[in-house]
Amino acid sequence: MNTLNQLPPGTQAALDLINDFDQCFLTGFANLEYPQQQSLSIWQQVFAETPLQQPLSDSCKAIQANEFLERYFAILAVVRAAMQGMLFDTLQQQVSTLLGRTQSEQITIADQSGELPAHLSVWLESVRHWLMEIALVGYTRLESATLVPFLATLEQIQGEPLLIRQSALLTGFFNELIGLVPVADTNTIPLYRWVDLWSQAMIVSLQPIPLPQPQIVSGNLEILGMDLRHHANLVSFTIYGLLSYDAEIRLVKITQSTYKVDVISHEQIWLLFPDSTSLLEAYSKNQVLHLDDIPLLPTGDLIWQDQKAKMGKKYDLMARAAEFFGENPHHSFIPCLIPPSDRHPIQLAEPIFLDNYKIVPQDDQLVLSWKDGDSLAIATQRISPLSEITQEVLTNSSQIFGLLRFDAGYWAIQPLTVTVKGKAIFTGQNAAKIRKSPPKTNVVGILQERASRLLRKS
Amino acid sequence: MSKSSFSGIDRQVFTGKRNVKQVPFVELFNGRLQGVVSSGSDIERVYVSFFEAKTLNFYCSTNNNRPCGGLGGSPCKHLQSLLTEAIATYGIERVSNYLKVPGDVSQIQSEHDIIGRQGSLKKEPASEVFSRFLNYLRYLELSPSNHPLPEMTWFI
Repeated sequence: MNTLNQLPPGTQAALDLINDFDQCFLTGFANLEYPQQQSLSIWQQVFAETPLQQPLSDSCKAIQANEFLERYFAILAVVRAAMQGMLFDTLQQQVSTLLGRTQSEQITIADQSGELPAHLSVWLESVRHWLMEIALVGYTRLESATLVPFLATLEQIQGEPLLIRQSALLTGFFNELIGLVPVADTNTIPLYRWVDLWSQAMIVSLQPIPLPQPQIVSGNLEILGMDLRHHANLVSFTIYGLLSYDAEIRLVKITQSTYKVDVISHEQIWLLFPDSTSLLEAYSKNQVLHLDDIPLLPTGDLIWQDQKAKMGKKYDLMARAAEFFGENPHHSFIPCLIPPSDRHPIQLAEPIFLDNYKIVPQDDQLVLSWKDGDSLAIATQRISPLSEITQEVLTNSSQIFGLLRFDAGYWAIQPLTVTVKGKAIFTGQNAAKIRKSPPKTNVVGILQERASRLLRKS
Repeated sequence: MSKSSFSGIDRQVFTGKRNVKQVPFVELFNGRLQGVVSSGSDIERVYVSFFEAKTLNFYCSTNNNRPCGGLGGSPCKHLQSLLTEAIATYGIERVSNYLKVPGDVSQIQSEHDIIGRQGSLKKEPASEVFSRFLNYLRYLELSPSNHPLPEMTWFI
């Protein structure tokens, strides 16, 4: 694992370039000073002789001449995303080489968007306009007056299932900004994160993102773990599993997401997924699911349809994880693929099985350490506070199945399932139980009853 | 030093005990602590209440803009419940910081210390807060999704 701690050449330089670029968002593009103008001209040199050279140079010139148009800011988002995409590719290469795994073939996603319904284009244009205003003011001076008028657009987007990606991101971003601005102390601004969110929001607002063409598959699914993510108004889980079909085994992902409100947290979130009953039950009992005609995207994402899954026999979750993702694996698998437009180091998620380690607390972190001197940090910041995997569980663990993740300039493992005293403990383990016997004070029920009473009336 | 995509993320998960039946909606938004309080007697009626940051001016009325009968020169029981639930949700520190309660902040230990520093009555239409409440409830009626959602990787 120590090979992972030595980053590929150029990685740190790219991260530094991004840091310099992000300073513009602190000051605001309407008030750029000499150091930020310098960073922009360095970025133009970096992109020299690439397809982005001309658009970037045009955008920088225009912005410095106080000519503020959305498309110039869209180009800024695109170049920052291109730098993150380059980092993604380099780091994916590093980890694939280390683990001796082949990378998935490239796919191209045909543009199926065609003619968009006009209202969608209008809403997305309004998102881009809002993002430009934020960039112009800068996070230091940002006030709620720039944010609140955007709510009308945001509410429209939330009601449009085609724009779920935009909605999930913009809602979380909006909540975060409205809760923190105006910022009293500039040093507390999470600049890297907020420019990340800004850039991603701009990229996904260029046009609605079509799903690639699926194939319809039947086969057996063994679930190995769950990544749980949430903000105040949305909870989403991604399940990782092995799908055997047509004499092949491939790593697949299933994502289920649902809107919520802030008071619905803890175990009550599991009451919000009506379309995942078999999925969550099979998972909590470690039973195979027989799938019949389910759409599979070339990225490895299954479009889940709960009624097309039947429960099968039990399997040993950790044994399967070890066979595929441990050292000297017994089997190979077809990996998942992140489409080029989504590539950012935060999306790296290489599955791995680890054992024979000792857990050592180091500063604020937990670190896995091996006899031969190797070490790997645990990405505790990626573990949901609602996960069954607590610090205590980790400390007592003997095996981990998880995802290799990259953030803040280093690799770390996000545990999805761990073994403690011979038993597997995993995020989402208790979901099925809570769905069968909901808690006595059911916040979801109380609010849903209110909603149906008031929303029908008005 | 490299920056993290997760630095500054609000990892606070609501932990306090909330009485959602009595106070279905409470939020710190746009310079106000505001929310909706159920009427004790009539299930069809709700009270819309708020405290304004800095001034601690306050108001309470029904969603049809009838002033709350419990309002004298001081906050009614609805405003008190709102404050209690806000503290259960966000903690006393965040609530008093947001409201920029005047005076020595270290002395603020309960809702009584905030009420004790009240401002004056400020009549405002209930519609703005009430539509925030309807929008809050609307989240529970939005369609779920079974599509990939890579943007949620930023939120934990």
